[in-house]
Amino acid sequence: MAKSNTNIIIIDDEPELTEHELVFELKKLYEKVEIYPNPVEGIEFIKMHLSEKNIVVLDYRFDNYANGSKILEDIRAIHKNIPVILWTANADKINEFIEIINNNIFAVLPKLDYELVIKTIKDIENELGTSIEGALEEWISIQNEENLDSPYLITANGKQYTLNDLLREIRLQTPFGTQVQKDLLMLTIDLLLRNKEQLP
Amino acid sequence: MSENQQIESIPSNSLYWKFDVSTFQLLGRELITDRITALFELVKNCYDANATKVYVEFYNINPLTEESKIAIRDNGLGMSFVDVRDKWMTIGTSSKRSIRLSPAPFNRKVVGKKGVGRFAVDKLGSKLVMKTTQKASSDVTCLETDWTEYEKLLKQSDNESDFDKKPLFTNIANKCWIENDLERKIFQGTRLEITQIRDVWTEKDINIAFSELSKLVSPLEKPKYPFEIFIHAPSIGYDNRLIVNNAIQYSTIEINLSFDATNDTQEVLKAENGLLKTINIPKPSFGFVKFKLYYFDQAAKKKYKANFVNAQIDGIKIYRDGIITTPFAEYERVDEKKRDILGIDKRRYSGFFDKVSSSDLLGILEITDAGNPEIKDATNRQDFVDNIEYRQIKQFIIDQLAQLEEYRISLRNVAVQTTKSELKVAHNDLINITTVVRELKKQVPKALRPQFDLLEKQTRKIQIDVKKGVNAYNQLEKEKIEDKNLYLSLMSLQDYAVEIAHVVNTSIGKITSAALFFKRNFPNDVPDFNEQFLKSAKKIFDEMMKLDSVVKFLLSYARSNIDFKEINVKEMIENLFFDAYAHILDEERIKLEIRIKDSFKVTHNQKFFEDIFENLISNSIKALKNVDSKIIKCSGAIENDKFVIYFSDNGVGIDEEDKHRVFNIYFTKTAEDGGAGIGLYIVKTRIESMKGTVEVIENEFKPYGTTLKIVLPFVNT
Repeated sequence: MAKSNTNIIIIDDEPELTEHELVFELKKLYEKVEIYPNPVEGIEFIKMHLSEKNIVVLDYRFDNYANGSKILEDIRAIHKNIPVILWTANADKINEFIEIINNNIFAVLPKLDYELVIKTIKDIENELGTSIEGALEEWISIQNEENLDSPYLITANGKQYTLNDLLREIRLQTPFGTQVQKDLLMLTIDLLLRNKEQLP
Repeated sequence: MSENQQIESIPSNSLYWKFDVSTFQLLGRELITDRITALFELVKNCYDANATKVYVEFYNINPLTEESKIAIRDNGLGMSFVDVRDKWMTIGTSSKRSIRLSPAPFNRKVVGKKGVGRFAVDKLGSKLVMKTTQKASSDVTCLETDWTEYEKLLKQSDNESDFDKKPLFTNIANKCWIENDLERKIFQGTRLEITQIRDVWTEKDINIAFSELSKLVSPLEKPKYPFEIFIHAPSIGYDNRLIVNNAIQYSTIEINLSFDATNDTQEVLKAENGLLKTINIPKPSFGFVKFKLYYFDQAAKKKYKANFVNAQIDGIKIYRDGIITTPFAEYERVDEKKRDILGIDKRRYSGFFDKVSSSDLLGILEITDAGNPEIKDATNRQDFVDNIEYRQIKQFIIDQLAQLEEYRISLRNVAVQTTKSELKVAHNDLINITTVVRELKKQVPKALRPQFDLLEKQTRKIQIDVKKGVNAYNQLEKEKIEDKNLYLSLMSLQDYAVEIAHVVNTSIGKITSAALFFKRNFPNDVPDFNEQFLKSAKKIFDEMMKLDSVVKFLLSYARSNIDFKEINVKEMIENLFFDAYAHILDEERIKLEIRIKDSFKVTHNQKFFEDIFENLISNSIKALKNVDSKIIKCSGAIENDKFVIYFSDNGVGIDEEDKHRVFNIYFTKTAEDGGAGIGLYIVKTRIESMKGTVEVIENEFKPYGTTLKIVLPFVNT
């Protein structure tokens, strides 16, 4: 089975994490599984790879850094939608996680059971697959190679965008990206409903 | 169909929030947890309105009657009709949110930020009449809010099944009128008159309010524009009594730490040679702070309590720009429920063994918005945002307390020494008196001799009694030290239990993941899966071994006698090496060099003491595994007033970078040989329980090996 190209970014300062079975299994499923004991470096990686698909697995307690809540805040400052899973040994202390829960977290998972992490990452991927960026990516993947990097859309002010550019803009949630996303959705709805007698 | 028609076919593209009548309860009664906090919120509003005087008045509040009334009036800026309409009557408005200062020239840092403080009224009583007027205006804007009307509607609403007919919070009319105060009786300010009071206010309740309100403004601030709060409660004889925070005048020790911005230094405490000094350190990460700390001993506390009924010595608070930030003044009757957000009482054995607790301290840590920007209020407003700076500010406070504690110990030691030497002087004086009496007896006329005989007998008897007293005092002191040693050992056991729980938890985590891996993937023919199966199996095995060693160690505690007895260290060490471990050491072909010069006794649990050497030896055996001619050397002698033991081997040694952490729990470099990383940790905690120290020093068998220096305090030889 081909590995997924979604980046899995684990931010956790547990020193033996590289030996963890979760990491072994994730590496079987994903091309890129990055482990960052230093959250600052983890955030830097996310920043450099914003135009790719990313899923973050975040620990809560760090010895030498602020806690997961602050790290999530920093991630959200870069991108408001990157899926983040909180993976913690203290999942029962719900009160401590109020800020995290209110900051667009996908799931809070107990550390003991890594199977849940794999399952949740898959859920996120499925969700991404049905999102506009997922659909667009899938559509792009079946286009001719040469179309990908040739101008596909030209805006009113003359700026050119290739298909890959469009995908990047949507992922980065730039004003143009969100506008395109909205337009695509409107158009899709319109097209679908216009020909609704043909819908399956 | 055209595109436009599509969109128009949707009935409305927007929806609006509606507020059920019950909103007033959510914002008032339920958000504000108690009535002291409610008062606090309303007084805070006066502060933000630049008032310099606030009068909190209680009329007929015990028992409650039709006439019961609570009034809060200030001489602040007041409001115009437009202000009342657009600000007071708009929920959540808080112009204070964006503008953080009150109007000039006061420029107070505003304290009410939520814009819901006004609903606190509902906690106090169900009817409010507000009268407010601005400077140079004769118009008094009046507003009446009757929460009972809201409650009636709420009942109706509950019975009404038709949603369209349900009354809404925003549809209730509140009576409003303008009074003309041509005589200018009210110059400026706001008066809240609350009637239909909910609860009886007893003398105790009012005193609590008094004490809590006294904390609103830092007693250290001498602001240009003062903020004075008066309580008027005729029923208990308070006639516009000014609230003052002068608790600190009764303290035993007063500490005052400041900073020097020009030289970038912060003052901190340092207990040294029986004195409590302030020293300068570089600017802390969290910024400069001012810290006033007042310590109360038992006598001072008694005096304090006699002078301040219901007032409490309740720990350290943080004031930002002169106004309390946290712990927030939500009054909590039950001591245990009080939030100890600074973690003073969470320190184990707080209030025990010279540790001070919140109930011995009043402290004010002053921070500023500009100088300590990283110390931010948490959104739940009950603490600060947990970040490195805040953790360090907490550590700063704890460090100061530790210095204070050390100082107290030295004070007590001085007192003990003084008493001892005074007793000795008294004893010597008595001997002199006896001699003088004996001499005098020889010179006095015979008729007086019998009286002198009696005198001589009595002085001698007193002399003996004093001598007995001195001995008893010494004995007591000795017993006290023994008791303390016992406590310390029990404490180290408790510490150990916490650590053990952590070890077990970590191991369980690893074993669970490894087992889960098998469950999910076994069998699997892919080669590197097999490799991982092996790794995971080994992990399970290693962790099980670790758990086994922990369990064995715990059992050794369970079996060991907790009795403390005098141990001869020389004999014990020699017994251990030459008897208990002889065959193991022999088998490992380890050469022993044991030189214990002096004899030295400690009162301790023998098992605890043996643990130290048991762990040192087992550590050395592992370190010597791949060495050809193996040596363990142990020497001990009295140096000054301490017994010093050097324990060395010529094994693999400790890397420079690891020296600071070899005593940490689970730190191990010998995991392959079953090192769980608890050995040296046990060594350290055991030695510390005897008030001793252990450190890694330059190794004797250079360039290889390790030497540990253990220093035990002197008891007797």
